[in-house]
Amino acid sequence: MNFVILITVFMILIFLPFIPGILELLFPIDDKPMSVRMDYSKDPSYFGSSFRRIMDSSISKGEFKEGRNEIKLSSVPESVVVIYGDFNHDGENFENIVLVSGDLISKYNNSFNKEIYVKGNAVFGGGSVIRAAAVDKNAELKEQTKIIRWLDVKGSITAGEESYLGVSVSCGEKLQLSKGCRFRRLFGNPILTPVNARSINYGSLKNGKNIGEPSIISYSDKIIKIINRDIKYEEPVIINGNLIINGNLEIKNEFTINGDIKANGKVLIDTVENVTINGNVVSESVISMKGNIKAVGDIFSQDEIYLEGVNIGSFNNFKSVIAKKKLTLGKSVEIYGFVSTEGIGIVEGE
Amino acid sequence: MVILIIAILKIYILFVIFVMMVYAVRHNFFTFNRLFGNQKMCYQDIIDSEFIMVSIMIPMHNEEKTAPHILDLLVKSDYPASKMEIIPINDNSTDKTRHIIDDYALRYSFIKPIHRDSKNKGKMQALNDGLAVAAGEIILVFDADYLPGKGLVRDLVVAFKDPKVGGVMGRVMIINANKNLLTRLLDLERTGGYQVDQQARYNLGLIPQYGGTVGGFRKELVISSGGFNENILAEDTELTFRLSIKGYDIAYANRLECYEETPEEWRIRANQIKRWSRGHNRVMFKYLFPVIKAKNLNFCQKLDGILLLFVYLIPFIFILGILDSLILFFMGEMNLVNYVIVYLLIGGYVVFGSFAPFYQIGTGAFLDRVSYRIRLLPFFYFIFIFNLFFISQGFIESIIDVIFNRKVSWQKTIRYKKEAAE
Repeated sequence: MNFVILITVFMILIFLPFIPGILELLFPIDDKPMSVRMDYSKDPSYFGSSFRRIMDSSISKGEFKEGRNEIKLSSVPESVVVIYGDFNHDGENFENIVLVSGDLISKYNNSFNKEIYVKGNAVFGGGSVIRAAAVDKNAELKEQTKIIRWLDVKGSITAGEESYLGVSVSCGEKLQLSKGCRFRRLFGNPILTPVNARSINYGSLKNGKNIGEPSIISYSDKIIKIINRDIKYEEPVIINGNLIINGNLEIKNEFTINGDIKANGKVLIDTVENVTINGNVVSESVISMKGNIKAVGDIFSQDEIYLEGVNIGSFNNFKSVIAKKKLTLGKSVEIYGFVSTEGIGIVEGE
Repeated sequence: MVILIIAILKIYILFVIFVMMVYAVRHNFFTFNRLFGNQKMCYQDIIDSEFIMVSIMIPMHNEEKTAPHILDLLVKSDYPASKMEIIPINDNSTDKTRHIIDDYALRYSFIKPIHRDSKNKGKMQALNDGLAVAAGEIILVFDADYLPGKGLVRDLVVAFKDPKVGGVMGRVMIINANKNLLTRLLDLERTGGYQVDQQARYNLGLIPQYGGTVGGFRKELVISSGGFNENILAEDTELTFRLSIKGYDIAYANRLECYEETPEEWRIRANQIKRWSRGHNRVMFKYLFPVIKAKNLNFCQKLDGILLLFVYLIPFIFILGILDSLILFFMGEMNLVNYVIVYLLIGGYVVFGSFAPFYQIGTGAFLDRVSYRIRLLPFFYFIFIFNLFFISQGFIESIIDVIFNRKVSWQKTIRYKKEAAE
């Protein structure tokens, strides 16, 4: 008898852990395949494009009249205030989605707590807070403007000092940043920081100095050559091929590479001489590029990036600067394309 | 003589305990890294106007049910058509595959099919034929049942902006997860494998695995080393080690997800995992010493590489361990070395080790925010037993392959898709 009881208890104990699983099989509540966005395609102005698409659809259908209207941006209908013509906003808060067919000029310390769509130009007064905005012409953010989520502008953007640029700021033309701007993701054609007093002619400065003949190093593009030590170039050098280093790379003089740079350690470039990188720069550590530098490719770091006096990409030939932890843009930086960090991006002050 | 045999059996038991502990620590270490460690970025955020020429190869053997789906999706890719060619490789199909891909080739100039009528059929052979004609600097490979999204090609290829990246791997997601218990468990297994294991290995600079589909490699690297070995069924694992030993990295992109169809029948799954084991163990035989001797791998990479190579041997070692313990038990010889040490090891394994894979899968589900399905975790006991048996079978077959230099033949996994796309 005792044996039967023991076996029964044993069977129950064995069976117990399966009960939640059996319930899940009989009455499934989490059996759907995990979602994959099949239509995902990288687009730096994604937020603005999506928002415009919904708004323009309503406009083209003639659904919007001057004044308060309704629109369904997500699951819940929301109020849209439609203003045909220009709009000078001097109130403190705006709690609705706003559509302005002309220009928008807001005063200091205004808050737009919902999305804004401006068909003309937009000027946001200093200290303003904007949740999200799409602007079809140019936008100007005065000092200490705060974007909570995104700003997408078809023309150019000028961001005033100490502005906070939210999750994403993108534009089709020039994106001029000022000192103290903070950001996560930027896209511009180009993105510019304040210019240094010293003249910069990225990668092709003629300083008149006789720096001697550069030594030429060539690496095969067929066989990977990994250099297992730190490298410091203090004399002029030209490298043909990829430079792959298990260590740190330091460049202190004129330098040209016709290939990519990959370092497991730091990449530190600090020289007043010309530096031309005809390829990408990838590091598992810090990348610091300071001087008179022309980079044709992407800059990618698993740590931090510091740039000063650097030109990356060219008009309509977009490249990326991506740093995982922190991205600091010093003076005279010109980037055609995309800038992104999972940490904090900042434009260096004086 | 008997004493010697008993001593060997006892040493073997201790060896099995040690091996299981090592793998338990490995599972836990990866899980902790995924939860608390520094997460390494992959390259997919890079926006670059210059596109590398890419050839996308899709081996197909009787794929009339799946071919239109994958081709429809690939032609919608946002990768510029001028920089891309799609090479569906019809490998001795006897259904409508040939007509379907020819029809697509007529409509799209960048689809360039290959028809193989050779008796020498198989995925590796098909890929080698594809490599011979591919114009791309980069080769991406998809199995025919995969469903790549619009931006996937671009996001995979951009990893090669890093000159040290020799291969790239995306994440496999299961589209028929909700069919039955098996598909649901395989879905969870994938979650642990990709979301935790692969990402942790990428984070730690170890050896993430190129999986042979939803991934790619530099064409020159494979061609210069003689193409794919047609006698190894796991061409993906073989390439992983070939690239790693040469000093190249495999980039793992957890965010680059692609649906696949998983086996819905235990019988089909048994064949699949047996094939994986057979191929993987051939790679183990071939690459164990090269990995140990590799100049381009550091100590941690070598250790990870060796543990990865042994993954499909462990079930066989474990089965022998169970038999060994039974023999010792009935011989009354379970008094191993020192009771305290043995009980500590076994106790440690029971408390932490045997839960390690569950912990990894549970963590993967947590990171994927699909927490209710982890109620199925206890059913992994059955998968464990199932895998023990069929992976061991695969291991034995791989030994026979090596001893008799047996020629291997590819067995295609059955597709379940009901009808072709319109």
